[in-house]
Order: sequence, then structure tokens, then C-alpha cells
Amino acid sequence: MRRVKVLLSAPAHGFSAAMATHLSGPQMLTANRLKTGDVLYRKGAGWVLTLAEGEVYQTQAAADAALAAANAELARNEFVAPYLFEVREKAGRVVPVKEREIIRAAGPTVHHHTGKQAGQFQATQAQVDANA
Amino acid sequence: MLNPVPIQPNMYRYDEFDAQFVSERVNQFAGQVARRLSGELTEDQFKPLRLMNGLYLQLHAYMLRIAVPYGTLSSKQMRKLAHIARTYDKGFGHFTTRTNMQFHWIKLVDVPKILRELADVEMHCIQTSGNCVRNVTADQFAGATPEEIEDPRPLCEIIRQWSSLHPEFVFLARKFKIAVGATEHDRAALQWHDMAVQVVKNVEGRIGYLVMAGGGMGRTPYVAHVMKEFVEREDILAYLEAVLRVYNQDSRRDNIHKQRIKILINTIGPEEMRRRVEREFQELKAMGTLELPKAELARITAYFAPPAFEALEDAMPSGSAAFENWKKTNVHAHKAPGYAIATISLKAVGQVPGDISADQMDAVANLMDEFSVGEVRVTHEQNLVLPHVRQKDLPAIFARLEALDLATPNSGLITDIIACPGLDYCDLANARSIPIAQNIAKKFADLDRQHHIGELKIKISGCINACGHHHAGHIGILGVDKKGVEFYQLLLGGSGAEDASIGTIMGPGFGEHEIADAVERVVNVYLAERQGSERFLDTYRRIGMEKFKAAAYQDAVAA
Amino acid sequence: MKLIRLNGEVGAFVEDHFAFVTDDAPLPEHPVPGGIMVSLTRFQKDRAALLARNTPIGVKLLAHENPELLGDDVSRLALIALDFPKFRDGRAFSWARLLRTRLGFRGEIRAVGDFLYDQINYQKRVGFDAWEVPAHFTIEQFNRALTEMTNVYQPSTDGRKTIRELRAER
Repeated sequence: MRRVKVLLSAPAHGFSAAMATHLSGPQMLTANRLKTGDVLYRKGAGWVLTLAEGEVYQTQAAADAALAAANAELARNEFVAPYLFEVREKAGRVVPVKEREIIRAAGPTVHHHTGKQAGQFQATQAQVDANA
Repeated sequence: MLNPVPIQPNMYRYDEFDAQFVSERVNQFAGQVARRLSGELTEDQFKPLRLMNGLYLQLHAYMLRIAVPYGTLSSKQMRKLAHIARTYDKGFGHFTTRTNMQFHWIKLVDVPKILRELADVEMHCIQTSGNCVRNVTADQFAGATPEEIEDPRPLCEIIRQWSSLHPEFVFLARKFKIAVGATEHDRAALQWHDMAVQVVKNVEGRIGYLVMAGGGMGRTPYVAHVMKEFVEREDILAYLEAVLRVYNQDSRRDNIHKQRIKILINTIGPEEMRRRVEREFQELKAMGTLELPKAELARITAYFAPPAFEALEDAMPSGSAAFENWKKTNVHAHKAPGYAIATISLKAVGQVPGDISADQMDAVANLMDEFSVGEVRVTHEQNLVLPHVRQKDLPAIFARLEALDLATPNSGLITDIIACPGLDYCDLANARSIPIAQNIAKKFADLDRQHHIGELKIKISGCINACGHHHAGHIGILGVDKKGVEFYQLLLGGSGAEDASIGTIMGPGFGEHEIADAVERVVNVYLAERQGSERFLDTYRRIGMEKFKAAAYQDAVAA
Repeated sequence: MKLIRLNGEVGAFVEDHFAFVTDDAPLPEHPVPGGIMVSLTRFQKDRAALLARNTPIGVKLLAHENPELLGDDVSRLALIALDFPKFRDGRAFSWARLLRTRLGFRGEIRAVGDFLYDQINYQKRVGFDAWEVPAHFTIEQFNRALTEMTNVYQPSTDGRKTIRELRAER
């Protein structure tokens, strides 16, 4: 370990902790892949690359448990900044409540040929699975 | 078509010391990436280190911001950016309001490779983000405009070197932006910077520097205060270091929103700030270690020597109505007879402001070599400038730009909109900026109407951090989030020029589909009220907010 | 924790001879081997008693405590420790420089608190010459931190030749 005095300070999960407050209703858990920056969605004990395949937590207890599990895995250095966000059902599909998460899930609204909406991923699912 | 031979323009070139410095910095950062991947560094520790090298984690991927020092690029560098866009990104890049280039689809694991490629063409990402001295910006017409006292870029380069990994100032309370100008007409938004230097002449006719500090946008906008009217050439680094030292020592560290130098200066007052700086300055001056020797200034200045201009007469060619329109807005006077400065618009209607494709980058590089001694400038308004073109070549340049969709004759007009990447890319954003810019540009696409409206600067930010300069827009637009839905506030009366002023918020925000209409109603009030040759800003300053506000909300459902 | 002191251009582990006396603890009755380090608050409160002792005195300054608060007493101190409450707080870089220049301090300037490997070279450049590091930290790491960047653009208190000076010598 080359860092100095690291072990004396608590690991910071400030971002996820802040995001976790005052959420309600069905939620999903997201993060970014450390090596590529890819947006990830939690499914079971692992991650998938699309929101459609991700797991929806119907209770706050389930959502909190998923976040706690992810936070406990941060030291593996495979993903960063996990946090929960709210979703709702619209025309039989799960969609995020906030515009931010809609854009994260799809890609930029101004370049439809880029991002997940165009089937583009920084890493392949196989690469994700291999590291999950 | 064959690529022309790359021309090395007169700009700073690395010697062995600069090359070694950048190369070692690349290795150092590669080591930091490796330590992050191995878990030796936590994300919390890595984040300030990666930011200091221009690497963000954005909504979809990592974003890498590459420094374009004082906005000057060679054709070789432009071709390298095109190569990086194709190889490591998705075939395009984005020029920012700090005249940098950023790529939005970068993988962390690729960054060391990209940095090595950049080092090959004397480029880097050092201090393009983080709480340190950022990339120094300058007037995009530097070295070409007849208005300037002298080319400000040698000083920019001296500041770039002095501020690179300055041991005392790499962990400042917040970011620190410096700009340099040398003309009365301010194209570099000097007064909006943490610190700015204006080249001036004193009563004896001696050239020196006026230093301002404490400007800034963000949540609490301020226009800069003059710190010292005249700093002698050889003392400039001592003075800048004195300002930074007072800031580093005395700034708050307990509230991230109150840690910019603008807050310090406006809390203790400019008079007290000047007193504290003067004390440090006198001490640094007495020590003498930061004195800028004439020989060093001359050595750096020599790199920026004017190109060998041909002996030409002023003879501006005429052409089609489209060419005439372009000449009117996008061509500016040059200091050499028979030459001109040509602005390349990155604001084609419907395009993303500041975006440029890899193919366009290569094509612009060819134009640079053929027509502008291998050089281009990036502007803080997110356009490009060919600084040294022969007037007789303008029709050919225009035709080539038209074919590339880079010839929109809108420089300074209502569709020449500044927009940050906004919620389409940015992790900090509350609302999208780009689609708003596109909608407004479409509404005002008619060129005759744009020219009839005249100079009108619209600036759009997707959050309070104000990367889109909304406080300084004649019309500013600020995106806000209301329970997950985007809303847009209108501001009127801001300016980023020598008549700098802070825009006033009109009132409640407009919805995504209302804001362009509201802008149109505001513009219509101006057209009805303007007297003589008044710009929008002049009319607003004369008649105030009331009529504009009444019209803007007339048909809107206020949010 | 261990202590590294700069010895020329490299570091070496050394014995920490200073005992830190907390603000509420009594000052030791008898002379202690080495020296005593106290906070600025304690130093200001017990200044006379501390300076009257025949032992080296050290003061630990918090990030917001300007060394000028010590006044002329700076010259009577053997050690000034500058605290990094979190590594992002860079005020101590300016305090160290101030101590080495305006205040003419020749004693030990010690980095304590939450700082990173990546900051050690900057600390050395502005005048630090001792570092309190965790047990697992090695001298090899320390020395590597000092040599990642060969040359520098700015003059600082380390007196190192700048790139400008090296250019002039070519």
C-alpha cells in the first residue's frame, strides 16, 4: 500500500448515502464500471449493461439491501459510485422517474447514434460477466 | 485529395525539458491509474488526481479534457485530435468554453495510451480540471488583430509553464482560471475570470500588465476587481504568485460553494485583498527568484513571431449573397494588408454547439495548411478561427467550409449560441442545454432575420456551475431540475465583453418546449423598442426588464 | 506511525524524539528525552513555561493556523508540524513556504495527517523535511515519489534549478 494514512479515514460512500435518502417506490441500483465508465445496473449479485435487464426493488428494504451489498463490494475496484434511483412502470416498461436516469440508460438525446440506445457499450457483456 | 504538407506555425514548441516534463507526467498519471485499478487508491483519493489530469466520470463514460493552451492549435495537433476521436471515441469531439477539446466516450484503461499519443504532438491534459490553475485562455485574434498592443500569447505560455505542477498551488480551495488579453475590445471574457491580465501601456508608453481578480460565474456571479493598474513586465509572475498565495492561505475551506477567490475578495473587500497581495508581492519581488528576465521573454516571444506575410494590398473579394453574409459576420480585419481573420462556425443550425467530427477536424487541418500557415484558434464561444488568411483566398475558403457545413454566417448572431454539454453528458447537470440551443437556432434559422436582429449572444448552462456562461449572455438560459423535470430560467442583460455585466433572472422558469418561444417574444420586444443601431443589450440596458418580462410570460404557463 | 526525514535528496527513517502533549494533559514535571510538541492553543497558554524548559519545543499547527501567529517565537522552536486534515486541503503548502522564507524558520517542518504519496514531492519542494507515515510505508516509495518528475518550472524554497535556469546553462 503506497497511500499514506488511508487506513485511518473511513471509505467515503457519501454520494450513494446522499442519493439514498428520500427515495420511495420501486427502485433500481446503478453504478459505473471502473475500467470503462460503462453504466451498470444491478441484477442479483452482479451487474448488467441495460436498464431493461436490471432488477427492480419493490420494497425499500430490498433496495437498501442491494445498495449495502454493492457498497460492501466497492473494495473489489470493479465499479464506482453505486446509488439507487426511482423507477415507475409506463406502458408495460420500467422507466426511470428522473430525466437524468432516462438519459443515462439510453444515451445522449442529441446523438441517437451513440450510447446504449444504439447498442453501443464501452465493454461487452462478456467482459462485464467475466469481472462480476 | 492529397493532404498538404503539414506546416509548423509560429507557436510555442517543446524543447527537451518540456518534452521530458510532459512524458514524465504521463508516466506519473499512468501509475496513478494502475494504482486505482489495483485498489491501492480508493475512488475518493483517485478522483482529485484524475481531475487534475482532465479526467471526469460523466453520465455514460469517462470524459477526457485536453488542453489547448490559449486556444492555439497546429494542423498536426488537429489531425491527432481527429485520430483520437476515431480510435478512442465515437468519431467526434467537443470544443469547450475554456477553448479545450473534450471527448465524452473514453475508457479509463485507454487514457495512458491517449496521453502518450498527445505527448507526441506536444499536447497534454495537465490541469484541465481540478482545484488548480487551469488552462490559460486568450483572445482568439491574438497576433492577428490590428487592435492589440502586442500578442498576449508569449505571456500565456510563460504563465502555462509557471503554473504547471506549481508545488504550492495544486491543492487550492477551488479551480482557478486565468485569461490574458491585449485589446480594449475584450473577446476573452477577462472580467469573468478568477484572475485576468490585460496588456496595457502606461503614461510613459511602457508596456506592462493590468491585473484583475475575483471574477467568476457559478452560483454567486461576480465581475472581477482591478488588483493593480500597472505591473511591470518583469514582475508579473511575482504578482500572480502573490494573488494565488493570498487565495491559498485565506480562502474558506469549509463550504465548497464559498471557496472561489471571488468569495474571498468580496468578503474581505477588494481594498483589503490588494493590501494582502501587495505585502506578498513586495516580498516576492525583493527575493527576485520570480523575476522574468528580458532574455526569457524574448526567447518565448520569438516562437510567436508573426508569419512572413506577403506584400499585399487590401482587396476584399466580393461574391454571392451567401459569401457576402459570411464576410459580414465571420471575417475580421487583420493587421497585415491583404490579410483577414476568418471564423469557422461550429454552430450550424441543428448541430451541437462546439461539436466537430473527426472528418471535419482533418478537413480543417488541410485548410489550416493551405490557407492559414498551419494554424487555427479555438474561441471561448466554441468556434474556430483561421488567424492569417489572404483576402483573395476567402472565396475558396468559404466554398470549402460550406461543403463541410462549417460556413454558417452567424458569428456573434443569435444562433451563435454557447452551450455546455448539459444533462446529455454531464454528471453535474440538472437539465439539457444542447437541445435548447438547437431549438432556438432552428427558430431563428432565417439568415435575413438573424442579420436584422444583429449582435445577440445567447448562452446556455445546464446547471448553476455555469460552464455555458449564462450569467454573461445578453440572453442567458439556466437549466434547473424540478422534481426530475427540466425547467429553464431566462436571464437578461449579461455581457462577457469589456462592458461586462451580470444577467438578471427574469422570474420563474419555462418548460423545455416553452423556452424557445419565450426567447422569441423577448427578441420581438427588442425589435419593437430598439433605437438606431442599438444592440439587444443596449436596448435592455436602456428600458430595463419590465417589457421583456411581460412579453415572455404572456403566453407561457409559468412554472 | 513512523517518521521519515529528508537527508539531502533522499529520505531515511528516524526516531521521533518529540512527545506530543495533548491540551488537557499536564506538562511533564521532569525534562523528557527529546522534546515536547503541543498545539498552538497550548503553546499560547503555556508559552512562558514551555520556553523556560531546557528542551526542544515543537508546535503543531492546524490547517487554518497561520504560522505568523507564532510571532518571533518561531526562532525558538525546533519543530513545526503542519496538519493536513484531509489531503485536498492545500493550505499547508503555503504555510511551509512562509516559514522557510518570511519567517526564516530553519527547524524541522513535519507533514502530519491525511496526505497522499502523490503530494510528498510538492511538500518537499515548499520546505517540508519530515513526514509522519503509516507503518507499511517504505523508503523506496518515499524516494520514488521524489523522483517521478525530474525538472521543475517554478522556483521554490528547495532552491532547485528551474527549467528556465537549466535552459540558460545550455
